[in-house]
Amino acid sequence: MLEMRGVTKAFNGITVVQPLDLVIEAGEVVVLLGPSGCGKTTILRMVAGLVTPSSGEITVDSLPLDARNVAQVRRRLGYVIQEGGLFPHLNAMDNVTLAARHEGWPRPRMNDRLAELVEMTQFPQEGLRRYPNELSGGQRQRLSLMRALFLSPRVLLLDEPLGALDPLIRAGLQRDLKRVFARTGATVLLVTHDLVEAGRFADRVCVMNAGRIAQQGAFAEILETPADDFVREFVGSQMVAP
Amino acid sequence: MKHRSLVKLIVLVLVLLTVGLAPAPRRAVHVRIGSKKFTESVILGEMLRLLAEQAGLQAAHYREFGGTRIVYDALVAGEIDVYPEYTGTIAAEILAGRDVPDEQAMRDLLRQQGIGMSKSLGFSNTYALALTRERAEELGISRVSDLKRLPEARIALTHEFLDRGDGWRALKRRYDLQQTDVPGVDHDLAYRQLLAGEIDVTDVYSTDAMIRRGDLVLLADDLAFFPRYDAVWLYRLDSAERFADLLTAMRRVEGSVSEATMQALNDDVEAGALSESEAAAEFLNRHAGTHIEAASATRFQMIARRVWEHLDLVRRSLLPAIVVGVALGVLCQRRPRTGRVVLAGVGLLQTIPSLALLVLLLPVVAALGYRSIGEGSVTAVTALFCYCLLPIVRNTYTGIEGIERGTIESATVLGLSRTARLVEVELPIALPTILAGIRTAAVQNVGFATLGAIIGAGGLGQPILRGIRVNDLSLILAGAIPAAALALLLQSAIDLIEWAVVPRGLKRQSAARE
Repeated sequence: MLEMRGVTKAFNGITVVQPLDLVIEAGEVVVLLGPSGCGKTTILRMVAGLVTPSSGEITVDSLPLDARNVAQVRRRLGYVIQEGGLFPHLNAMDNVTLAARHEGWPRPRMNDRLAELVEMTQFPQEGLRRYPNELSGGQRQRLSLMRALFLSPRVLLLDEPLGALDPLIRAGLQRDLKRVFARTGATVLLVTHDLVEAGRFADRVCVMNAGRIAQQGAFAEILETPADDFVREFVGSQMVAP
Repeated sequence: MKHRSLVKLIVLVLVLLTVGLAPAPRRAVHVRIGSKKFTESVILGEMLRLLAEQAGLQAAHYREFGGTRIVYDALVAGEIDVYPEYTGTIAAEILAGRDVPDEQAMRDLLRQQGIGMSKSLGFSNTYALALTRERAEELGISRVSDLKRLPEARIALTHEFLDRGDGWRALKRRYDLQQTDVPGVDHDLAYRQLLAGEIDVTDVYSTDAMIRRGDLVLLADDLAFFPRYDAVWLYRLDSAERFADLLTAMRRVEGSVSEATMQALNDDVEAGALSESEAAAEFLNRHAGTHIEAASATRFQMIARRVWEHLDLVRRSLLPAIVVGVALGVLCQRRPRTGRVVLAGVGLLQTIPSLALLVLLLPVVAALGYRSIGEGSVTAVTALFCYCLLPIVRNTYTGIEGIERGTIESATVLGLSRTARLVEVELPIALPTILAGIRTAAVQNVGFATLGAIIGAGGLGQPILRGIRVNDLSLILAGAIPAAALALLLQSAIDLIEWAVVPRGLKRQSAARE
């Protein structure tokens, strides 16, 4: 579903992504795990077409991502970022339906889809008329998720979607996100620095260090047999308890 | 309803441009009379207007819209048909550098530019030496030559007269005067010193209002030193041909205004006893046998008309500036390199002094065939438009630039095209900032628009300018107070628009409820 072959990225001569090969199957949930500055967000932004790779090739659903195709590729993508990236001038409902309006969806179809997503993401019905700055952090992330899901994307890109939330709300949203992944069957690429989060979501974890994948595999595998010192240390630092 | 927002934006742009570019309402006019920015010129212009209207012509008088250069250029460009001028000024300024040995030569040179010159209106407004009647009798002098035998006479002169090549030094040489140590003083101060008896003699213009007011006498220029500044009409030959009645009207004034009469008329107006229009009508009724009642508008009517003109200037400059300014602001944000040039450019415009900008624009506007001077002048509108740009361009730019990156990128990945992103996301989020820019521009504009009066553009600057000229504080305030009120009103109107169109989500007071 999502393929990266020999993808690199350098900003002003500084390489942030080393030659990268990553193939994600349809419906697979892959987590890019690593400390800040390891290049994981850049990878996500390259897939979203926001950053152009210095070399290499990305294909989404067999469509090569280039200037000509970027619009078509984006129709297959849903994108959620840490602060939500919501439209402050639109209420929740208009935030969610903006893209559909531009696609020319009829009103009843939009309402049906909205009801479906409200149920799926556990967004409070009464919040639909509120503006983003009138919503709580958790509600904002659910809203952002609804917006990303509205046109039924094949691939979901999430950049630290739980990063800005406090623990209690985080736990609830984690549960709901997992359900959403399962119900939509979407291919997921999720970026986080949080080991527990990676464990909760991932079919496959890619631990990133300095622009390259240090180790990839099932979560348990990463914990039990770290490939190198970096992975061991990164995992160890987050395993304080019990 | 895919493009609802785009349609709304296009409609808004069209409305702004249609309303903003609609020409100022103007009645049909046969002849346009100009005058320079001093009382005498305005009174003479009014005389001609009243006579032309009596003869059945639709006449407009563009009062006090500039100095010699501006008014003469307007005449040559055909923006006005006639205005009062002085032969001395024609020789020294209009035909400067040309050889003008006599009146016939002057007529020939003017004719080459399509301009005709009438006979003298009857008086010369030149330099003269004045003293109080009382003192003149005490000293027993009536001619400039008499000063020669009175070396102790105390003379104080205006700085201008002292400095001119053909001023005091030349006069002293011609009359072989002995006075040394002649101080330079301000015109008004010299007048007061003269009345207080602190000085004996000063220089004045020969039709100065203060001559009658202070009962001054002028020393006869017995050696014919001072150049003639005979008042005449300068008119377009083609206009005179087209409107014979205009020529007749001009002739009715020729030779009929004496120096004493002009002094009295100037004094009536400057002392506030009569308006220029009333003074002109009174003169005509007395000397030309007309029965004209000068339509003297009440002050309220006058101000109402000026407010209307003022709003017209604001409308025609601000509304197009909103469209162009926002467009440029978007361009600046999209193309940073071009943007730097554009921002520097509109910033530079802002630094050009208003008078300079007006004078720079005048010939351009005239060359393009638009109305460059007079009420509703395109020059004034263009200058105001230029001054409006900076706050609008800058605020549009910073408004869009300040939007969180995540918001823009979310819109991008959501599949919105550049246009859709601009219309649905960027402009709406930047709206409060853009409105703040428009508000700044509008308030500035109302203030700057008063300067349009310099070129006769009308509006509330007109009473201010006139108030300064005739030294009437109430007239100045009658222009300044409504202008200030207008600025406040416009600001409130924009506040109201902001309140109505900016969604709750962008208002500061609604804090997040966690």
